Amino acid sequence: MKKTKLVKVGTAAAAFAALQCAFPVLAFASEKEGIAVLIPDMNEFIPMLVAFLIILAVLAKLGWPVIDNIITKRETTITEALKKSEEAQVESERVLAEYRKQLADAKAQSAQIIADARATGESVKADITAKAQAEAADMIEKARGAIEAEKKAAIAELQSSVADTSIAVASKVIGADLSDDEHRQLIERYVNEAGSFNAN
Amino acid sequence: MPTNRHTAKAEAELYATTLLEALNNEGGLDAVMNGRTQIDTIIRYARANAQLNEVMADSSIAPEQRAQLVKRVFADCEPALVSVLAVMAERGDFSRLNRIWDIYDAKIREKFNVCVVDVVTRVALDDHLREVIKNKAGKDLGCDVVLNESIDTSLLGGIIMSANGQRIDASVNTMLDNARTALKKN
Repeated sequence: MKKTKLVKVGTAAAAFAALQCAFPVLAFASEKEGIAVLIPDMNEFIPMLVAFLIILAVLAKLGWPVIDNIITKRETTITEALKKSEEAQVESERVLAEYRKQLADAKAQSAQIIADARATGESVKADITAKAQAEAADMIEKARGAIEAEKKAAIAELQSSVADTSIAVASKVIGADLSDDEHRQLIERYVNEAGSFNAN
Repeated sequence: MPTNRHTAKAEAELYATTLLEALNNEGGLDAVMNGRTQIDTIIRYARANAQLNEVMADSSIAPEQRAQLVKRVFADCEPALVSVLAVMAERGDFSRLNRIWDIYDAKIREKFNVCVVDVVTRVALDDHLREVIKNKAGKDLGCDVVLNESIDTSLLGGIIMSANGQRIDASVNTMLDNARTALKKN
């Protein structure tokens, strides 16, 4: 169809060219002067007008629809491209919003995870600290108990040693220093101070 | 029907009575008291000498041999006591001497109305001290008191008195032990 139209345009152009050859315009040296120079010469104007009208008609009949069709198609193409572009832009905006939302969710989730981990870490840290403190306190208490026991044992041993030494010294003093009469006086005193047979 | 326990008690009574009568016939209260002291010494000797107990309990040794042994070992004691001990050894009753001594002591109290107070001191008692002890013990026990004195140089001082199974320990040793215990407690 396009080809046919082009052939037709070519034919019209060829006819116009033949017409121009059939009616040559004669070029003459200008003989007018003043305002007459601006007024067209009818001998030239009319053929040129006819030729123009023929070309115009041919173009209006054969060329313009083709051009119009091409322009329309181009317009349609551009419109569709723009529409697609808008749709793509909308889609991209939607996807972007979705990505942003996902990113925000991921950020929130990661923040929550970090917060949870931090809380868990704090809790574990507190537990470990409390346990360590309890163990340390227990060890200190045991150490204090052991020290106290050792101290008491040492004091008891010292007391025992002092008591044994004192008694040994007293025994030696009494055994060596008392005369028989002093012993008898001691016996008499003890007999008088001793308890009764009935009391036993 | 008498049990072994009753039989043993009756036999111990018989030994004690026989011994008391024999010693009383020999030398009166002095011999009785002397015999009492000797029995006490023999008991302590027997406690410290396991071999004597083994021999006395050994059924493979003839009764006559046990009697002879006792007579030889305790020849210095009162003759009546040695005779009774020989019979006991012959009959295998030597281990009952401790019980016989208790009964014998009780019979002395019954027969002579005297209480024997065993007194242990580091130095010998003088008459004044004997009187003091007799007065105190007689007041406590309600009978005439006969002292059975013995010296123990391991005592640092003071006196230990025993009568009727009761004991008053007023020795320096015990007092020092009490002081030692009190010091250690504090």
